[in-house]
Amino acid sequence: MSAQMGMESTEFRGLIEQHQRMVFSIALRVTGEYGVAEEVAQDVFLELYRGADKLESPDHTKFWLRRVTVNKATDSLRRKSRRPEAVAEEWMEEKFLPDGAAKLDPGMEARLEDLLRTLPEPMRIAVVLRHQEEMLPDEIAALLGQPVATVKSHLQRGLQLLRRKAAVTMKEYVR
Amino acid sequence: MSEMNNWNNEEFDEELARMLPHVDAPHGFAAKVIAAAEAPKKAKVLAFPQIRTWATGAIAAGVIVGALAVGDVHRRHEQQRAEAQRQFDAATQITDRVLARARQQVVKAGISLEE
Repeated sequence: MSAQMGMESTEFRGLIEQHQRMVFSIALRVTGEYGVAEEVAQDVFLELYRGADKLESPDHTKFWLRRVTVNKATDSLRRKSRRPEAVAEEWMEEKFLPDGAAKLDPGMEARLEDLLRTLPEPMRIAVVLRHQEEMLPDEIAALLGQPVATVKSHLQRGLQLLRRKAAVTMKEYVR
Repeated sequence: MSEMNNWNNEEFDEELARMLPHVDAPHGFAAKVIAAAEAPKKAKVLAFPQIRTWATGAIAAGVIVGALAVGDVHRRHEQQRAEAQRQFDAATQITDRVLARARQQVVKAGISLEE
């Protein structure tokens, strides 16, 4: 980083390093495409750079990042008329797994990622925020600006769909 | 792992959470974002001469068009002035001839114009 960027940019770099995995993972699982997720994540942080002074606390920053990431990822899907199930394999390589992550059956994990991509967008977003970000339904509702009942419904129906599809398509991994 | 057909909601929730870990951002992501954040500042510095060149060209074109328009107006005024002068000269000649003829007729009639 150049010296003239000063303290603000040092803080900015710190925020990127702290949140990039979260932002990128949400973008990736909503859009389903590695390159698009990178663009979305970059846009999110550039918007943070322009408006960081409006964020009042670390929690506010995290909330803001999650919300803007979801919005930009869904915008990107709509703009490109792209369905995330179009690209499945590229980012499931082991190199993208975080250090120290529990070693899962890669076939099983890939299949689950595939199935997640087949969910309708609102259900997929709710499932990602609930199970990847470990957010509670009321937190998700606040983030998405939806009623809690709607979020719970999306979660319930999304999980039902996933379970049903998993039962049919993942038998070969269950021994 | 239990049979998927027999998964209850809690087990499935736990499996999902385990199978949806955060993934690493692309290599060099932070550096790319910081470079992109800096880019508009540089773009502004670079863009200014481009804007200045463009504005200079526009002003020059405006001056040329203006000069041509002024020249055209001036030429039309000159043409109108010349035409007016020609008509005035013609009218003066006609008047002179009519006056000369009238004078001849008056002289012929024996009327003195000397007084």
